[in-house]
Amino acid sequence: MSSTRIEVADLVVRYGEQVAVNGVSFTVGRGEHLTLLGPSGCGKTTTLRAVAGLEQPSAGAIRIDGQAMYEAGRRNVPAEQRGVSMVFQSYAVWPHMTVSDNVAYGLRVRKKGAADIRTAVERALDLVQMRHLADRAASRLSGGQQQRVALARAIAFSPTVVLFDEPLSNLDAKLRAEMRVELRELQRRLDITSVYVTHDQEEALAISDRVIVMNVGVIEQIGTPEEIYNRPKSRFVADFVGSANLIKGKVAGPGRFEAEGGAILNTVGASSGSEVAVRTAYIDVVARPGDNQLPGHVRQRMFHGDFVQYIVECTCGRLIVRRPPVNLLEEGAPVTLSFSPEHTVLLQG
Amino acid sequence: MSAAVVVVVAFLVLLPIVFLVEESLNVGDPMAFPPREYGFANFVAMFDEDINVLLNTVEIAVMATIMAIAIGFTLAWILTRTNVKGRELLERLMELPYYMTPLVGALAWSVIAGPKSGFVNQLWHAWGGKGDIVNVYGHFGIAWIMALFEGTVAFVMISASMKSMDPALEESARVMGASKLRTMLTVTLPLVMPGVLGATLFVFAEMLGSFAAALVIGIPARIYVITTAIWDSTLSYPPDYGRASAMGLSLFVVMFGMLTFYRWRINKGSYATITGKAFRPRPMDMGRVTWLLLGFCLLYVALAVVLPLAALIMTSLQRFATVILSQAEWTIANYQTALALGPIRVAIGNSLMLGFGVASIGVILMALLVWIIYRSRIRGSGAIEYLVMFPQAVPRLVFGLALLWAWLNIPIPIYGTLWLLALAYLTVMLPLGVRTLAGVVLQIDKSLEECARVCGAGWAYQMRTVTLPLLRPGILAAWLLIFMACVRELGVSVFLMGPDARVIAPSIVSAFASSGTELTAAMALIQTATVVLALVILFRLTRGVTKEMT
Repeated sequence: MSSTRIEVADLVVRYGEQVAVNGVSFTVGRGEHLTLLGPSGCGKTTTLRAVAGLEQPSAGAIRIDGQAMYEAGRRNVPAEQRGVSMVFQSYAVWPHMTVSDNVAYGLRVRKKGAADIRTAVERALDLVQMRHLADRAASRLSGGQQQRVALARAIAFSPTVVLFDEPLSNLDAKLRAEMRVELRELQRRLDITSVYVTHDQEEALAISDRVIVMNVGVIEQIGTPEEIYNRPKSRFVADFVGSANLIKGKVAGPGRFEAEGGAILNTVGASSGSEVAVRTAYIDVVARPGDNQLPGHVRQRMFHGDFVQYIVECTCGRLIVRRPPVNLLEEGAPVTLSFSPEHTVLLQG
Repeated sequence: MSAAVVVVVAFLVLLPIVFLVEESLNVGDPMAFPPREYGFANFVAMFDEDINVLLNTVEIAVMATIMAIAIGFTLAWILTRTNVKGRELLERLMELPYYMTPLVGALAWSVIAGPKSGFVNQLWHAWGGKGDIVNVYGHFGIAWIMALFEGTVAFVMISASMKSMDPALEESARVMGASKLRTMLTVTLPLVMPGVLGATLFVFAEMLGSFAAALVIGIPARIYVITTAIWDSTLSYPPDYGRASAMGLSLFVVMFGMLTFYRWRINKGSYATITGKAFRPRPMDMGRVTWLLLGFCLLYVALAVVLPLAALIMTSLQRFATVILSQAEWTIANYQTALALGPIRVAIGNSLMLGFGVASIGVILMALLVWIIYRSRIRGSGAIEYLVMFPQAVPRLVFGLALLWAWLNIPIPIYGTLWLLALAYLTVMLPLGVRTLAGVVLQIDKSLEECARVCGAGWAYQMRTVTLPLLRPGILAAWLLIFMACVRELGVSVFLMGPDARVIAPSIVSAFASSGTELTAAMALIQTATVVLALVILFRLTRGVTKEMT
């Protein structure tokens, strides 16, 4: 058995003149949790909907378990025959049914026996801790409850692939953090493959095995959350995921970069380019041997609680530094910034 | 201040109904005021002597409702859920039959499908056919015209409920493995059903109180419904206002009950499909069937707009209306007569004058009312809102009757003058104007006004520099809507028009009854042209407004 569950090859989706997805290719392995991350309008939702069969692509191919679901000009399997499941941004919980009717829908469509349906529905509701509300009308649920019902409905018929379209974006911050933990837990317990769409970079890093960063219809970078964070390939990724300082300059030899103002930095990453990215969290204010070092002075200090943010004036411009809120530096104090070459990433330019 | 407004509005809105109730209980001399004997004989007579009228009313209203809902549902589904070509334009065209008015529609269909000389039958005879193949002068014909010209509201209501449905509700069913048909049956239909039932109730109530088609088509065919029976009993000698009031009051109570029930259901909001979110439409690809669907839309536009207008234009330009072109004698004499003949010219002039006057004074008063109801924190603003919206629940014709009886007996001598018509128009236009203006006022964020005050502007300065400029498009739209409604007003006018205060719509009705179809057609077209002109300006204006806002 192949280890690839979903394969998307050179996918193009057009709306009239507008190209929403412009040649996207990736694979999702069995049991893998992949996230499509990007700003609104980057084509992530369109890609997901094309996999679900809700959007008509213009070119490319989509295969699930080796079966062609879409092949340009030849084949487009309707959504209901693809066997995938989906959680919608608006939850799309049917207000005219009870909670358990909602959850049972996929099973009834598949003509399962009444006893099987009952056990499957109970199991799914147990997983999302909603069993006590099984007989409640779906129109009388709170946002968080609807979200759980949508989740239970999506997993109740034991699909192998579940697609998530920004499922947490309508929840408030606290609930969102809780659901994130539960979702990760659920993914581990059920043997499902998932593709998840979000514009929230924190969420993407937290719940995925691999992340695809998209921008204006194309893929910017594919990698594990650590790779995306530690080794951004492009300015877009460095900027969109996490917070990074971008230092302009030019390459001064292999692994060496001359920043504006003359400082020489040891770098990793691309072989040519005109910008390096340094994560704000990776900069120390105490000189460490072997690190890149930049002298400067503190221009502004902002206390955020969980961390303290300094704006430091250096020869290469202003850098943002985030440190734990201990041993605070005063505004105006001289400081030597120190960061490892490992975290000084030359971006493709 | 608030008490004064309540008293004035209540005087305009409620007092006529009080008179109506009193008169309906009058079993003595129907012209006596106050009545000398009270009783329920008028109500009993309705079920006794006029039982046929009630049966006709229900039969025609049921037929008309079924047709209106079937047409409205199909059109709404086509225009909101499928990828039929030219949807935006078609959607605009769907509004036209309503602006044509049922009166003009009824005239046109009597020309198209009347017995013997109706255009369809003329063609049939010319082709060698015997007898008549169509005859609009029957129960079905009346219902057909009502459905075509008053059923637009069904389309508007049903498509609103379809538009407010999250497409993800259907998509999730598809992803779960349900076919298109199963999705339709288990998700789409149950979700749209409350909207359709609401529209059915609403349309049925409207059809019960519908007057124009029953007047133009029903009376010559001797088919009376409750509205025409009310009208008829005021024409007898002596006029039987007691009988008319009893019928009017009953009609009002039934309609009011249905509309209240409708509101209650809507407010109960059994399904919160309306999240206030604008959904990106995801129309279904219907393949080749789209052409069939487009055909259906165009057929409707043809039956409700193109054919009626064409028939009226042809008729108005001939000496004797015929559709056989070789026999036609073309002339513009009908228009000359319409514009030269004293009473008709006066009626047109009066209608325009009333339209301008009522719209101009109306928007100022209504803007004030809107401000009092929705912006000032005056106590009792809820009561004012209720009173202002009240005329909406009263069948227009019944309100006309109530006003007639009230002002015959109120010792202020304006009965039979344009003043009473103006006052009556103002009263019945209250819901329309206030609703339109309120829509705009509620869109304006309160903080825009508050900011002006914080910046140091006084109330008058703030109104002049911030509120009124923001309200301007809404005020213009309300003005045009009221103007149109005045020019086409029939239900109140038939009762309040006097020999010295004629207006156009009732004059068209009497011309149809007494003089030729050709002259009537010319008059109807003059009225329609006025309304269309106002409508074109309105469309221009609203398009400009929506552009500005986006």
